[in-house]
Amino acid sequence: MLSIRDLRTEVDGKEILKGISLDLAAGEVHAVMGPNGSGKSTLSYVLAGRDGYGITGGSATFQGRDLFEMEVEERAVAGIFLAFQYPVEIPGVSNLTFLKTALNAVRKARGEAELDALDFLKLARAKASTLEMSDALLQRAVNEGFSGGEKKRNEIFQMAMLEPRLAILDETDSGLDIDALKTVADGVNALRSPDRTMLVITHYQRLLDYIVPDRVHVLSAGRIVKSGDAGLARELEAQGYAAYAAYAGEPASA
Amino acid sequence: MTGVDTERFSRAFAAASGELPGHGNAEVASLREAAMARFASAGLPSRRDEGWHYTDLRRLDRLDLAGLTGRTDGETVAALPESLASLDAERIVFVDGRYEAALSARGALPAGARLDVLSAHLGNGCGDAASILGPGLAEWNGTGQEGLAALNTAMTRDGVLLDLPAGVKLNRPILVVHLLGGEAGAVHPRNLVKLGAGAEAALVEAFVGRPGGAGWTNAVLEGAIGQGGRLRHVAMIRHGADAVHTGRMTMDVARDANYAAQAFTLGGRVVRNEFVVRLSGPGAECGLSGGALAHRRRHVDHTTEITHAAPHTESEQVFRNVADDNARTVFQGRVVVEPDAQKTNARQSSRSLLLAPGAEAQNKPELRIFADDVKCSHGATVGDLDRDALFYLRARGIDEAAARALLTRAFVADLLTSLPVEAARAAVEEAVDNWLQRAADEGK
Repeated sequence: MLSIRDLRTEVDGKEILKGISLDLAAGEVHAVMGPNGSGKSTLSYVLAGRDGYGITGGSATFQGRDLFEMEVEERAVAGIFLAFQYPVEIPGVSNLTFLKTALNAVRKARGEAELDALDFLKLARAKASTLEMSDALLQRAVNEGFSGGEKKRNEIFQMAMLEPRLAILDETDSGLDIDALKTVADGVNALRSPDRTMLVITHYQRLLDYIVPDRVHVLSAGRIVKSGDAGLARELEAQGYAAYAAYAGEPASA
Repeated sequence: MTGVDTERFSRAFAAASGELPGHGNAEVASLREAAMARFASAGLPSRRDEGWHYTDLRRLDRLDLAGLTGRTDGETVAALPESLASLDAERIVFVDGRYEAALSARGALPAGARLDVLSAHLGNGCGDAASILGPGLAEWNGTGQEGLAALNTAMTRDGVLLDLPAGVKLNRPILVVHLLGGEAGAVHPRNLVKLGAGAEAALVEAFVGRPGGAGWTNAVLEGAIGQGGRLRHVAMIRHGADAVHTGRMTMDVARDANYAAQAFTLGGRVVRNEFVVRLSGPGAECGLSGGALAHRRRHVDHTTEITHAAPHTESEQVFRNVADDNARTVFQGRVVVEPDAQKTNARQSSRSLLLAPGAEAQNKPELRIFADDVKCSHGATVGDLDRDALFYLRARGIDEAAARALLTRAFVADLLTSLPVEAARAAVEEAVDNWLQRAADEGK
């Protein structure tokens, strides 16, 4: 599904990712854990195609295509979805208008017919109810005045609507209380499927109690310093990241 | 004075005066002569006039001042958008400044209400010509457009006269369409609105031209709203790409009366819309909104002057301008609070959105406050599209052009929210969507 080889990036002349390699097969859930400043969010933005990140080396291949040759929206309609750490507020654009436009762009790219207003609304309401999102929330401007939890639920709701092939969850647990975390995790787990791959980026092990990954990678100072199974996350929680700082100076691979 | 040769205007007046409506009536003729003399002395506004610093009318030098034929061929009529043609309204249509009964649609009005066209009125040797063509509110104040209003008085062929007695409320809006046939030439529509105490009306003006249309429209609307009366007013400017438009809308708002107006400019090469409002009685209110969607080298200027002349008066202004390519937008908003106008409440918000590096926006709020117990606020911003929002939309699969269109539409959402005449919504939204689609079509 996604193959990253020796990826190096810089922001404003400073190298952030210093040679990352990852292989994510269809149906797998991978977690990338690391302390603040390790390059976690950079990794998610680079994969989604945000401006301002220079690719200085390496490659990323998504379903056989060179990811870095694709525009942001091309990646999205090809099935890459980034659940934002900080979802953006967009006054004046209703959540439903936004999502209908997005869904129809994705459907068009898949060769499916666009949904009319009625079918769209039916689908949106069904998906929203499982995430405990009210009609009022759907009608409001995108993320405007949403609480932290509502914003994160809105991200997972969009993911449920757009049915991506590769979902990147960037610190989806940040700012959530335990109930909201469970709701969001249930939403994510409901979307696990043999042909959907997930990359869960998080600082804390807590989220991984609910979304149990197949593989865990520890990112430190721009390098993956250790990879393992779900047990690695618990190990990390017990030991802290400090134990892995020693690896940071050496090249590593996943 | 001005860089424009006013002699040309005098010659055009001399050539036309023998056949302008009411030419046989001595009172009308002398009002026109006097107005032409005022124009000759005031001249056209120039950038040396304070209120015209940002807007240049020298383009009028190249304009053929005659050439009005009143073309009603199919192409001209087709320029009237369906969203306007299908509006449930008293419809009055002018083509190249001349009334076209065949394109108009009139229904029954409440008893006492008068809705006439000016030409019929002037031609009959009216008794109140002075109230129509006299130097009224349109030539009052110092924003520098008095010359244009005087020229309008001298040269006008037609317009609408709405006169509602006390308590009369129209249940349908009035739609006044000014169609330009696309030839060079100047038209000077003159509209007069008088609302008696407690009277209510809704007026939609549409200035429409063919896509590549040229010509100059120099419009004046003068009005007075009586005590407790209410006028809602939308002026939509959808001229062709080479057209020049100067529009002056002046309104006197009496005690407890309300004037809600919006000017929305979506076409024309050089456009100046000017609102001049006087809140003359306690409790008078006005809400002005407007803005422009401008591209290429278009220049759109919205200038307002609201005078709070009585205590407990209230005004609110919301202007939103969007400039793409090398377009330029201007908002000048002046609020004057006279010494007696205590407890005035005046708010003004102006925001401009620049969609291209070559686009420009000017914002000039101006408060002149001569009373001490007032609340006045203004806020002005200029910015480009939010990059984070753009990335967010694109990351969901919405292509860049569509994402920019969505965000631009969101930027003008405040105008659609404050649209004073609900019946005009479809027409305004269609015009906005067409403009946004143009950008998408050009792959921007």
